[in-house]
Amino acid sequence: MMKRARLVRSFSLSGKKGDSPIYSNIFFLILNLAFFGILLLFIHTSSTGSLVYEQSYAKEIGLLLDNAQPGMKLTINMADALAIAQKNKFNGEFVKIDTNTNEVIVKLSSSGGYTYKFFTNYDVSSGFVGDKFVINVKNIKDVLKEEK
Amino acid sequence: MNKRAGEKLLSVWWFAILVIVGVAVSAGIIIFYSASVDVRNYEAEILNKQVQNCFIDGNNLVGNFKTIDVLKDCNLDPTIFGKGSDYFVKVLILDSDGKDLREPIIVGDSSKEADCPISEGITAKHISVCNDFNKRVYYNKNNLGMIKILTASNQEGGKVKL
Repeated sequence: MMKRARLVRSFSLSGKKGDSPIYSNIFFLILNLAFFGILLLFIHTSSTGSLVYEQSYAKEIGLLLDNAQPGMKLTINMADALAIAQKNKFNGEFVKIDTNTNEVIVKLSSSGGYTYKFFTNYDVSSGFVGDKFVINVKNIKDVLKEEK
Repeated sequence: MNKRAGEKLLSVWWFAILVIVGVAVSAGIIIFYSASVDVRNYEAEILNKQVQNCFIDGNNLVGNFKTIDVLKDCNLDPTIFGKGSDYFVKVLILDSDGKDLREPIIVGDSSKEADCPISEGITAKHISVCNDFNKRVYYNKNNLGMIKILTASNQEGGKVKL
């Protein structure tokens, strides 16, 4: 009898809320779902974050310039990177190739970017054509910079 | 009453476990995604190939191998190979007796050469990664010699703030 009464009380919504196991179970379940939801959201945000893409694209472009020869035209599909920049609402210069400092700087968010150096001595021009980044490797820089 | 106390105890432990799991997974994710992608071996290899291209033509040394300026003729930027450089290049050109056919060429940070034997066994953040190239080549038409090119890179890149 006592067991039955307890069972009835546990599914009764009219009793004291704090005493009802169904509320505590639902509360417990919601907390667990919230916890794992936040955890999965964090993993997703981290794995699709700008830092990973900034680093990989900066190094990819840097290594392509290291391996290039004058007259080459390099085309890099940056659709993934542009999608990340769009998600971050960043409309600045995504990729900058600074031939004075020999640096490739990739920025996909307003919080910063990633820089990587290349060692070749070429003059380059670059720009986006749709979602592709095109680099034209020109001749060697005319005046060799003075050694620092 | 005892059972209820037990349930409370269980929920406290459950939340403790959630916190531990959460912290561990978050730490793992942060460490994994903030880790630098190590491309120094590719960079050292590419640098080696750039130097090879300006010294070797097929199985022969180029005609002017004795006067080549490795920075100028191999399209390398002198500012990058200055003092405290992340790179190192060493070129030795030897005859069949092992004597130098020209003075050894060394550009970049020469202290990186000492990292090469170490980097063969381990990969560490501040130890340069090297690429070694040795080839028997002909010079002055029929004379057999050898070219040895050693390159090293320790460039890791870095974050920049706006």
